[in-house]
Amino acid sequence: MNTPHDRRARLMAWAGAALVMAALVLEFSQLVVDWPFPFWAWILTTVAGLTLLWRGLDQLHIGMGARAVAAALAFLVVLLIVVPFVVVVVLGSLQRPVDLLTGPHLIPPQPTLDQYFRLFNIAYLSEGLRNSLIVSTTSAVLATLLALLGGYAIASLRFPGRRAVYTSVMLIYMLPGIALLVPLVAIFRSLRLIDTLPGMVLGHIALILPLVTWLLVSAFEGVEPDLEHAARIDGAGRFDALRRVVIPLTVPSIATTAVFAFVLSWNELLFSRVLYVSSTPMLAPSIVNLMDPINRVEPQLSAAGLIASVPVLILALVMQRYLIRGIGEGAVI
Amino acid sequence: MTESPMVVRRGSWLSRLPIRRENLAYAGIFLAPTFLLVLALIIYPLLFSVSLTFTRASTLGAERSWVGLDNWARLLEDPLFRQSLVQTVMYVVPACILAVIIGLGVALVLNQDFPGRMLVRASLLIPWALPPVVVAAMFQWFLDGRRGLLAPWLVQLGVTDTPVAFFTGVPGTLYTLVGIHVWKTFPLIALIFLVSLQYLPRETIHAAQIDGANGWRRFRYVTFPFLLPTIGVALIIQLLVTIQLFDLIFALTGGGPGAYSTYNLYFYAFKTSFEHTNLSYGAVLAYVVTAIIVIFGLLLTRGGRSLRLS
Amino acid sequence: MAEVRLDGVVKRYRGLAHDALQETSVTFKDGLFTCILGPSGSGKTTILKLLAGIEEVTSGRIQFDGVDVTNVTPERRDVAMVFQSYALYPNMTARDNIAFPLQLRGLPRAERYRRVDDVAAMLGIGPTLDRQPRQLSGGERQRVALGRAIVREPKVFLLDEPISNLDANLRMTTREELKRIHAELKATFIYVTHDQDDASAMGDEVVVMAAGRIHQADKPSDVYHRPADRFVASFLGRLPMNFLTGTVSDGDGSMLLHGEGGLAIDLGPRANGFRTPEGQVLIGIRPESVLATRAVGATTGVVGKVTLTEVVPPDSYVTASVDGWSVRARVVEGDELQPGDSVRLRFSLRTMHFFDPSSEQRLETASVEEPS
Repeated sequence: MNTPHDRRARLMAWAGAALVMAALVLEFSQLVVDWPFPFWAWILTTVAGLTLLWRGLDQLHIGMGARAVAAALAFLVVLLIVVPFVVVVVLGSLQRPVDLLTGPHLIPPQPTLDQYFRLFNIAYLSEGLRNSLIVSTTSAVLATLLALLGGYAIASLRFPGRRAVYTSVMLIYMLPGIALLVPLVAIFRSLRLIDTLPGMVLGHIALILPLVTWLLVSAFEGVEPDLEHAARIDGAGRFDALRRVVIPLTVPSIATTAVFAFVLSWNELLFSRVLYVSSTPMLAPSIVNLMDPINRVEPQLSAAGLIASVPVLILALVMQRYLIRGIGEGAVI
Repeated sequence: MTESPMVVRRGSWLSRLPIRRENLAYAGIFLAPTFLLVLALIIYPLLFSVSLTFTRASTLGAERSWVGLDNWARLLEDPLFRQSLVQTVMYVVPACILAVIIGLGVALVLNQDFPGRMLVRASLLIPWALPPVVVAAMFQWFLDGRRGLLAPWLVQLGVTDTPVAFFTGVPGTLYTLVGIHVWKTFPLIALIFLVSLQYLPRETIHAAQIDGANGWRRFRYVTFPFLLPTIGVALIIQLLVTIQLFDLIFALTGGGPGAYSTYNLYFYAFKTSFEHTNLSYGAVLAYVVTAIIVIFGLLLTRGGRSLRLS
Repeated sequence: MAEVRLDGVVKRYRGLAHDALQETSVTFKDGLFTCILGPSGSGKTTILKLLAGIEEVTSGRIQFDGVDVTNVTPERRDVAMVFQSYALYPNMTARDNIAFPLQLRGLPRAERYRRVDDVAAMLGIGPTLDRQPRQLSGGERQRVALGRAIVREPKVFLLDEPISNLDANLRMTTREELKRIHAELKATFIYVTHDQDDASAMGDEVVVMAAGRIHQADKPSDVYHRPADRFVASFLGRLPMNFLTGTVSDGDGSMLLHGEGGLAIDLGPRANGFRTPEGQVLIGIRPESVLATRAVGATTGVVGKVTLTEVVPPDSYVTASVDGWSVRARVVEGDELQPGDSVRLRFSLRTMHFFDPSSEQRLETASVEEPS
């Protein structure tokens, strides 16, 4: 289309894009070259440029302007999320402690994987990693199993008090850990569970079980009831129907719930700190230990942080579609 | 019971029970383990800590004397309690407002269709998934006065004239923590809005377009009213999450700088129980936090239910 | 023998004001194809669920061949059910869906699949066996659901509106097939529907229900020609039945209906053996049985004014207002009528149904209705 209207629209769009680009270059060149470009000037120019771009594109094709500006803003959001992590944790872990003395660097002048090797010499870190893996996996699996049975019962079985049980699951899930912690410690102490892995697992299960149960209740409620009925009429007892029909249909939800449970347990700090005395270090408190100025060596902390992030990031990446759906439907935290 | 050809043998022994009893049997078996765990690890501790609030106890196992409502009365005179409460509000209000505004903005952006949209949506999971301690360590370095990158960058970009002291100001440090917390939690809020936006009927937007409403008008008169209930839900969710903020405070500031400038109620309860070893008063504080959470939590379930219906 | 019987069965759901099923006793005779006909909410699906065992009775007994099965769990009852939504297991192929009941019975795979193939041949779904339900059309899914029920060779088939989701042509052919299958299997079929065409096409017996109560249980022709109460009369039939209230008197060989305002309309000549009902009556007469002709040139019938015309092939119908009553009538072939025209309506005593106005039950007037 080459009408004057279109040509003007295209001009507007190009002008806008050029403005934004120019402003970007002018502003961010200040990171390398020292010259005064006021921040407010950058804001104004960028806004003006984006508006021109939007208007221009919209006149060419309805909606395109919004999409282009959205893409630009989305890029900003990604930067906001990714820059701290990549710069500090990933790149930071490759720095040498000695380089820190010459001021903060974006790119490590002499990148090295040294810090990662040194990590394994720190007992409480490597043990913490091992323990956290064991505890989080075990709690996630056990909690999911228990919640599977319990959630199915609440969702599909008819028994007196069912409504009450459902509301109390919600209520209990809201309770903050701090309210349970002191008496829990007392109980564990008398049972000699303090500072033991089984004790840690129990403590984590106590924390995550209500949420996991609630998630699975939702999952089972989403199954068409006629399917279970059909299975029973076909001759399947309840357990058979559950095993052969209901569970195969809810496998994605169950897997997502297990991942939620793992992430919750892995990231948990309070219980892991309090239930530990000397023999069961966990990853989260160990990292806090490394943050203490006495122990702190920034690149090492970054390396530890990266290792601590890898499992949950991988899980989040793999299950992203289901996680996003689950989070959006209210499975918060 | 004589079995005619119309009643057959099938299923386990449980199938032989009459219907109602079979239901109960399965319910009992399936719920028993969960029920036992909840009873032992949640209900009993809760009740125990209630009794704690009425005694004077410093360490577990030590003499416990009944002191009635003394511990509760102490709340009214404790200046640190008041300060923690005020500071909790200082955490919650900006965190909620910022997270909702940013989250809504991000959701609106992601609601548009542009190449790479799915990638951006996936990246939202990063702050959610990262362990809070890692986030704390990350920002500790990033925002550090001497070794961090952000402060010099801000000066170079012309945002500030002098390097910002993120962790040494009062109440500046508290707001730094708010900022870090918002970084970690805004994606969750954005996703909640994004899911909600998907339920906005396309036809309503098209109708508005046909009626001649431009982008801003469409937002103000169609999208925004539609999202009002979700905004309410998001605010309450963020409130609940922020009230329980612990990990960042514990890892980054330990309550300081100064004596108590970054305390919130939750952290104060923790400190009282585990470092000042005043378990009864710590339990009292924990219950105050619990009460606030339960009240808003109930509001949320009420609101969430009507949200799901609409 | 596969006789199914409900004895005083009540079903009440917690929190709902009305009983889903009021105290009901009915026998579904062995080997018959019985249709339970009624609008939604009438309790017909509830009966099926109670018979299958997936809902529990609030009170009363259910008997299969004299054996009390009221509390027997569904897996132990020898019934098969076809759901309105088909309820096919999404994660299994059609073949495995049909084989499922046999699998639960422990039959070896070869035997299972052999039986599945037999049933598939009977239903004509051989080529679809390896596909998953989501890849099948509505009609194919319905047959797979049927196949899953048939393969068990049960004594009782429960069918919950299985063809209501199909398009009209498919429905007709499926009705014939169901009748054929019923004849072949000789089992007791209990078929729930809101569509009276289903009942008249397939039912050996029809049970008419509304609001949790059975109104009539009879042969299809009896339900149409001798409705037991006002509900049954109005539910059956293509067009809504006309209802007129008033008192009937004998006026010199013609029956007259006297209404509120003292007006009377001619109901036609007296029939032999007709017993005039006393007091207020409710008269029901199907539009097909009231003839409308142009008023000009006609001498018999009640005069009225056309308010509405409609075409229900193969006939045309008009709605006319007659002295305060509104009557829908069939236009005599050849006549053409427009709104505003004058018409004459001819009634026939033989095609009228008389009901008690308060109880709405049928009154016997010893009149014999000719099948129309």
